[in-house]
Amino acid sequence: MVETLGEIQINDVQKIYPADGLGAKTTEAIHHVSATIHPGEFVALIGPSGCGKSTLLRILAGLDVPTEGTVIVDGNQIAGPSRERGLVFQDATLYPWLTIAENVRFGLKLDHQKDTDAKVQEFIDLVGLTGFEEQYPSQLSGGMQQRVAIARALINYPKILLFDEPFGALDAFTRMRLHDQLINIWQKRKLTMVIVTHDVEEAVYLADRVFTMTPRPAILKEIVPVNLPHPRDRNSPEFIALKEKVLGILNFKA
Amino acid sequence: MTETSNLSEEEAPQIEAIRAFFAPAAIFLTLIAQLILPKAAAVTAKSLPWYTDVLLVALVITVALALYHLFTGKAQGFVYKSYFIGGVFLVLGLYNLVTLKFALINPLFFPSPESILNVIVKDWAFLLKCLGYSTRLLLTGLAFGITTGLITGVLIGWYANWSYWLSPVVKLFGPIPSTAFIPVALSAFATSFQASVFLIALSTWFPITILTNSGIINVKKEFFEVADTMGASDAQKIFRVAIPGALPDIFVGIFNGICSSFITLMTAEMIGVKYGIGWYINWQRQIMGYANVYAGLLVIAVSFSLLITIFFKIRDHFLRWQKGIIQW
Ligand SMILES: Nc1ncnc2c1ncn2[C@@H]1O[C@H](COP(=O)(O)OP(=O)(O)O)[C@@H](O)[C@H]1O
Ligand SMILES: [Mg+2]
Repeated sequence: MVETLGEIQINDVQKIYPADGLGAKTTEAIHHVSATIHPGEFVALIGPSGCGKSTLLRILAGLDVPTEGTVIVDGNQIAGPSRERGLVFQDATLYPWLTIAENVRFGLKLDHQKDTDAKVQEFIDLVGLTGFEEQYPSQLSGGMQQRVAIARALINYPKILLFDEPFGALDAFTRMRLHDQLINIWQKRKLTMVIVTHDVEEAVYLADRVFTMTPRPAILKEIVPVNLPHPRDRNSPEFIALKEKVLGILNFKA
Repeated sequence: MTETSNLSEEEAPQIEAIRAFFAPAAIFLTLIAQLILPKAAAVTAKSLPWYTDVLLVALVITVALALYHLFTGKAQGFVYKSYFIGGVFLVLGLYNLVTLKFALINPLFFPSPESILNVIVKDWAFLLKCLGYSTRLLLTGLAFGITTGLITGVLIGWYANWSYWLSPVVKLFGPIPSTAFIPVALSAFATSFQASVFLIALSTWFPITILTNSGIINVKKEFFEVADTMGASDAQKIFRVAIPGALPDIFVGIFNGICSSFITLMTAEMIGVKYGIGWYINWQRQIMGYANVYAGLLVIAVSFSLLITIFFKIRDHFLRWQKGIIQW
């Protein structure tokens, strides 16, 4: 199998949304961001609501086109969405008309793959949803749905997996459980992950590096490396210190 | 169904037994009225046994079901429906009094139950033949209407170019009742059958186009974006995301289409097409055969209701992922 790479170079990316014709002027969502995300790295994008995190993530996914600048993945400028870059939204956006197994199988169907049962089962097991194969999304809790969405993205072996506030709508306990599952998957599959969040603890718990962003128009303010081994202790002094540091950068007094 | 299963919790056994025997009691009452009251002098037609027979059969069946319930506690569905069944027979009995027994309304226009049943007994083969003709016409028209409606709905909903050219056409011609096209259709097509197929297809096509279109437009944009990040082609997004996502609306469109196709069918048959139930009713009306008219209406009611039931079964199968869809 080809080595999974997943290096992302963000070169001077700017995004200006055009005026909407209802009197609103153009919106500069991102003001010249440059950064490099290394293969297999886990990066968190953090910043206040409305600062342009989703916009940047959608540009990385290829769903939005930057007004200026380029995004290079493993040496190739991205020109649109691709199977190499999976995306998980805040609400799981599972297809409600498909069962869990059919949702997970969806990407393989698009790729005309045959005999996919074993693989589908493998990924359902991976996210701990064995036994729920024939249920419909509406029968699952929010946390379970989000795990299905992760399995649905992972099964295509993307080099890069992008998350837009994937756990934002979940309760604290479910969220912490999913954090550990996500780290587990990330360590097993060695892919590049970028997660957008506005939860400092989530960012510090998951990421190798935390990218802090300023309010609109977003610029990359500071990159905070988190050199703590997994599993991380949320109550350790180092962890708390890093949280305070990120909060300080984001201009909140802890 | 949930209503029936709650029944035993809500009602004490005695009340439930009374409920079970309501239908047979009502039927018995209706039967007594039929047997002991004399026919009105104004009704000149000779007496026929069919109505009495139907009441007898209904009595035997409901008594059997009620007793079965009494001893086993089963047949809950019947117990639940018992009031309704009894009510239907009481209304029927009342109509029998008003027509056959006391001739309170014009017997020419309002034939007694036994003379309506007589038509079904004597004329069933011809009625069935007419039903066959109607069914063939309806299903052919529906097939064309549903297919074209889905195609135009998807094209307009998905492609901006198609929408640019087709939307105004749909908006202009769609709301016109397809029966307004009867003169045009009759001269444009070689046979009245073809013309009717066209009219039925037209009346089905419009609601299906509109609802398929709006269904597709309302599919969440994220559903397409997820497919995009898995490398979906345009065709895959149409067939695997847009259409399944729009299916609830599409079924509403098909339902509306079927309902308007019934209207068009009846109108077409009463105006141009030879044979068919609508034609039968219109023909009998012209020769003052009102018992036959009512028998025809009865056939229509049963068969249309059956068709809608089948439609809802199909819909329920396709939309089984939806919670709490309307039961028919
Ligand atoms: N499609 C769009 N058209 C116009 N403005 C947009 C659009 N999407 C986002 N914006 C604006 O861009 C800014 C950044 O939005 P977003 O990236 O969603 O922020 P975040 O995810 O950090 O909350 C916001 O002010 C938002 O209103
Ligand atoms: Mg956002």
